[in-house]
Amino acid sequence: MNTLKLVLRNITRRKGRFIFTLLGIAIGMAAFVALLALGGGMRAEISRQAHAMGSNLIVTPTDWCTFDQISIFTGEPLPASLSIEVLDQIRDIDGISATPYLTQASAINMNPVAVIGIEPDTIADFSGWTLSAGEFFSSDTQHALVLGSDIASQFDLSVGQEVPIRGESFPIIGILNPVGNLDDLGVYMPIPVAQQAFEIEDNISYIGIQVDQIENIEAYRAAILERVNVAVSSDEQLLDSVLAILGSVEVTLQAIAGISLIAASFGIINTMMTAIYERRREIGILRSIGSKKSDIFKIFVLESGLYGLLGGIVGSIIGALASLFAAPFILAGFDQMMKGATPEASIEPTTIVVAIGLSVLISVAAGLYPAWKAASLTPVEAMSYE
Amino acid sequence: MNKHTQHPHHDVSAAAGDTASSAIIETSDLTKTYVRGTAKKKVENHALRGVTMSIPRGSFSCIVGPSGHGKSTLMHLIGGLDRASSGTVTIDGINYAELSDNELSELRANKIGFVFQFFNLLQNLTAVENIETAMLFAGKGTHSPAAALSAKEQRVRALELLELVGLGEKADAKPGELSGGQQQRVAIARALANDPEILLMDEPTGNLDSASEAEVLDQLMAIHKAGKTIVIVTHNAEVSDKAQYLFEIRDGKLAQAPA
Repeated sequence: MNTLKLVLRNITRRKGRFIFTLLGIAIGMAAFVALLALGGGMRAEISRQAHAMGSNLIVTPTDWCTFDQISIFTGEPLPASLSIEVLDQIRDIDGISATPYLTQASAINMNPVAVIGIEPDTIADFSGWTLSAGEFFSSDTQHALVLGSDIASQFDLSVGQEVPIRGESFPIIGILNPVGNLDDLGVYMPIPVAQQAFEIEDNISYIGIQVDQIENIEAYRAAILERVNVAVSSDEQLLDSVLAILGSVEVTLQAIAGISLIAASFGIINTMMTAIYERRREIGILRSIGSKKSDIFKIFVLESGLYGLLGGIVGSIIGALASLFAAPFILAGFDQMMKGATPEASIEPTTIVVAIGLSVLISVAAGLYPAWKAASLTPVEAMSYE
Repeated sequence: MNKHTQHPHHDVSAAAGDTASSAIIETSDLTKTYVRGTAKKKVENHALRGVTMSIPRGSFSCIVGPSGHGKSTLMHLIGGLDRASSGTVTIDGINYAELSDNELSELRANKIGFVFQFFNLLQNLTAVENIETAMLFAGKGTHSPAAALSAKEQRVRALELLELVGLGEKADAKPGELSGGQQQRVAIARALANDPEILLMDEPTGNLDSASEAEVLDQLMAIHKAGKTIVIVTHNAEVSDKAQYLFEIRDGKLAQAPA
């Protein structure tokens, strides 16, 4: 017999209490893990999109609001109010490469798609595009389309087919290799062709900029602002503004997780305290056969800790499974907003560690008080307690 | 000090020397007052009102008297299960009042074995595990033979003790599966786990039928013959008749010393 064995006997031979105590702890922790996983999933997806964008700075008209900026990530049509002349002025700055975008909307088979006007000479290097089939735009082939990989597979389109856009028929000349971001969902044509098709005169939506020295990004931004009247945001800033909006969603989720954690805590505290108050007599017996206060302490802290550990593990598993199964339903709206985003729960290892740690901590704390109270009684007092 | 005790010719420790060393347990003007109620309205219950007694080493002694007159309280104080309000208890010259809580726990673990009226076995543990649990608390570095036992050695010793009380075959039974007499014998085996010098028993036959009572009594006599000091609180004349020393407690006082 040793202390751990004594504790394990105590736990495993009270099956009913064991299961209900464990469930009490586990359900609380499951809710906590599931909600954090759902919130984390949204954040992770947006960060991925933003970091995959390839631009260090985004040049937009000064009158764009946050929702317009977010649309850069989501593939919604954007206002075309930035003069193409701005592009040349920016390109005069040393250490900058820039490429323009004109994002419009059309439909393929009645499904909305983003039609994006690009500059064939610069976009491929800028965005790291390579072709999986066909060829890219050349001076001879301007009135044509190059498709992102996902769009091509989604609508089962291949090189040589024709796609109607705004009543005109465009041949598909190339299909891109997957890039891993929103680019995979675009239908591309040269900017002048897009301007013509969508009847936009000499304007573009925004300009993506890469800088040679990322550490001097503020200097580049200042240089741009000195020359032209535009808004310049870093991708981090854009990400922040998206996250700020999503943050309110996430804060809500976290608040619910926090409340469920508090509820779980009280459940754990209640369970442990009841369990130990019921066992005062047992504590009295242990004391009468010579256990010290510290022995009682050790026994109940171990027992509470084991409950917390098992409850935390079971809860984390339940929570993780629940969030994985629930994510597609709960995040369905999110999918609508973020075209091409895959709604997945993101279960961070830290979430699991925190959940289990909290579970152990709360359980031990909850077990400690009644164990200390019981151990502080004389053996006679403890044993005569009914 | 020893005015209440006499030394029968078969007292095992009588040969040890003077009368003082022949007493293993001594109390001096021992009182216990329970205070209940609120701070405004205290109710004091004087359970013991000054008991001075001396129990000889290796004796079979009984404490008798009417219910509610302080017998059990006296036993709890002698056993270090509770603290006295005033007066002293000493075992082998060790004054409980000078011991810390931990030291008192060690003393309970190693020097004293308890047997209670309601057995007080741990219900989740089997008979053999109940006995092993007592060995768990035999402090390391103490003289208890169980102090440094491995789990295997604990098991061997626990099984030996169960054999001793005639329950070798019930080692894996839980208390709920045992009769009252069997449970009490497990409790006796547990009390012997750390080879204590003293066995203290509170109505050990109080919950037993007469057949079980006889079994338990036989065990006790055998243990006594092996040299242990046995102190029993009892109402039972069958038990008290076997006592070498009889202490009667009435109204929290020693009404009759052994004669």
